[in-house]
Amino acid sequence: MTPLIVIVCYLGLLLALGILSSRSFRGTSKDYFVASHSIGPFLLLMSVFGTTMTAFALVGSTGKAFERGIGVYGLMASISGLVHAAVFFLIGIRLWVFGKKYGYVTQIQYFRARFESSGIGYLLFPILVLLVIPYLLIGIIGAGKTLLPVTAGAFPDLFPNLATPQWAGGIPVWLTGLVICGVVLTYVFMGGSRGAAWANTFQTLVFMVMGVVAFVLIAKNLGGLENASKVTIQINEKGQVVQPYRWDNASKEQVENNPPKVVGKLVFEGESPEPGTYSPRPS
Amino acid sequence: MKKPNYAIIWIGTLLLICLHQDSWFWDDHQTLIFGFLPVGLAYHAAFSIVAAIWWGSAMVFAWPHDLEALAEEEN
Repeated sequence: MTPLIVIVCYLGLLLALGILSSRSFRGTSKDYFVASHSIGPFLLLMSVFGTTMTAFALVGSTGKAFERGIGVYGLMASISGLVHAAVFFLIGIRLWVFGKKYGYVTQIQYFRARFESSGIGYLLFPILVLLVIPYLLIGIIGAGKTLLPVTAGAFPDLFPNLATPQWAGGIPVWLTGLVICGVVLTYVFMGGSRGAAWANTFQTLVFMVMGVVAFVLIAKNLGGLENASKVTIQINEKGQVVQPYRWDNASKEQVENNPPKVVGKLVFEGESPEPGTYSPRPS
Repeated sequence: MKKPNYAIIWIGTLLLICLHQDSWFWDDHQTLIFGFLPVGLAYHAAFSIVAAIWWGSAMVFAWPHDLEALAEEEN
């Protein structure tokens, strides 16, 4: 129940930020879409980071790191450092110049004027919306799929979850998705891009602080940084997922598992996964 | 107003793109830097720092003041 209380408080704070930011709204479309150009470098940086850190990155990178190794986390940082800055510097500044000079607020306004065609606006609108939908859905589904196991056992009578009995009592994916959509729509509708920037900044600060806390706690419980790198699981030549070392809390020592402890098995296409196994994509 | 040399920015960016194609450390699961950091992770951490320095330098030495001035001009 504690994780659920923390999550409810978190969503409550996001709603409060949306309400607070709506007090600064000046009642113009320019203020709604680009916060009257008032977002400074700090809010912009935090917003870009927060926008990227959806379930696509947080849940996706965890799964990818489990499948391909811890280097995935480094890859995420390095590709962001390269691509985000390149897009801002090489494309963003030029688009900003046109936006400021001619008063464009949306992409469609720019393309309509550039090609002197209303038709291109009607064509681009559904395309841009459709391209955003899968990305948004990943965030919503990711939140739902994370919350279901985290809250398992909390409401056994209300949510028996017959299809996923191992998570009986957990909040179903559809309900989490509904609540998340409600919270996000509220702070975006009320605060516009200013509300979204404030909410993203808050979330980014939470991610950063909790990331450091998680890193320190996990490394500590695995027996320190050096041991943490050694006790991670490996895949042997038989396709078994094995743990060659473990951290013994009683003796405070790293102990070799001889033979290595089997904790799972690679499942290839066409095979039925057994309970307790996972099936990463074979490379 | 002197126009920044965008060719250098593009060349540097292409070089960074090449360096990002980490086919040399990616599959090395054994080597640990400083005794705890897997080499693939360390490489990308170092790459991120280099990319940050590169773009930071671009902002300082090649900021497009000419474009900024264009935005401020009357139509």
